[in-house]
Amino acid sequence: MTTRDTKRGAEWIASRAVVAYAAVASLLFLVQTAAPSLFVGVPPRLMNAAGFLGMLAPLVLGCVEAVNVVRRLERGNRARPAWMLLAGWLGAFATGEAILGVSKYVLGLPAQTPSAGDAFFLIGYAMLIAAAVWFVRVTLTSGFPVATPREPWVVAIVATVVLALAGCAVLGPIARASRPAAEAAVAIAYPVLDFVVLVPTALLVLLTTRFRGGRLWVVWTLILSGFVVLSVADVLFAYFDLAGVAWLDPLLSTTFIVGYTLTASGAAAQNRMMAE
Amino acid sequence: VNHDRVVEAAVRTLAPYVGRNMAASAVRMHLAKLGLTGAPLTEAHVEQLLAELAPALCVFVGRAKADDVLAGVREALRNDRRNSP
Repeated sequence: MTTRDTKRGAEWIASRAVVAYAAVASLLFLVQTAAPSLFVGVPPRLMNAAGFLGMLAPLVLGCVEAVNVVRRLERGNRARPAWMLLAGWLGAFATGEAILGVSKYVLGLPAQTPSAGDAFFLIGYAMLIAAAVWFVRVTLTSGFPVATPREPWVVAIVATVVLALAGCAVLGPIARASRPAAEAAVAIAYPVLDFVVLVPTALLVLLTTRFRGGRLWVVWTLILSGFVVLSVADVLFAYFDLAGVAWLDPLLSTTFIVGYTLTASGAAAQNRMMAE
Repeated sequence: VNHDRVVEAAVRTLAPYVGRNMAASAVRMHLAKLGLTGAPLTEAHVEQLLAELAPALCVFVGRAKADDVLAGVREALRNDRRNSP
């Protein structure tokens, strides 16, 4: 067995361990949402730490896997900048989560909005949107017959109109809520950015279906499912925050953990495909 | 080389990565672009086809992996020729 095989084996074990932990943690939070009485004796601090780790670990894994993909792609490869941006997004979100987690669970500071973590989340969103647009561009111009010239325009226009209408309807109550300006800006920014991400995501869904049955299809189905679940999680977070329904927090933890894990699994699948 | 055998070998090798439908569409599209439809193909034609497919595959799997996959097409054609009566 070579050093490279050993390293690959260790990477595989770490990746499986993170996905297994995320699966257990998300299931735990789902059970907590459905039957909170089962968790009466469990210290909230323990559950918070489990949730924090459940979000941070897949983000770090996804970032490492995306960086590995970047390293495997030769200089000049047109998809390389897109993978760099994807790695940057996951890294920025991991940093944001780490800042929130350390200030809340280690230093015991009260939650603040906006916080330093929010700066990293917003930078992360910019990179995510740029990555998604870049992936659309390189896929369309890759040389594979992925779409007719009209299809991407039709999907982009329909997705923009539908998401704009849905965004106005869904985000209206969040925008109208009375709270300090900075807090309101952060509360509305995430779901709005999610709706923006969903436009290139819709295009990528169309393009991904053209690779059905191949490993690329698996990679992109995982990554795009992650985008969608995270968008849902952000909208739910904004709603639950507005309504003050703390008992649904475990459900939120589940959606964030599942979203990050799906994306990380997609990046891991791409890395594995290129390594084999 | 028999045209259909080239198509079949290329599709079989590309399918695990891009799916069977995309592999078949891509191979047929590039053969048509090269004006190589139906007639038997020479080794040079096969290389032309692989050279057309390479940049597309590179975008998704990188140069090293794309070279491996396309070498698989050559290998499959060699095996086909060896096994053909």
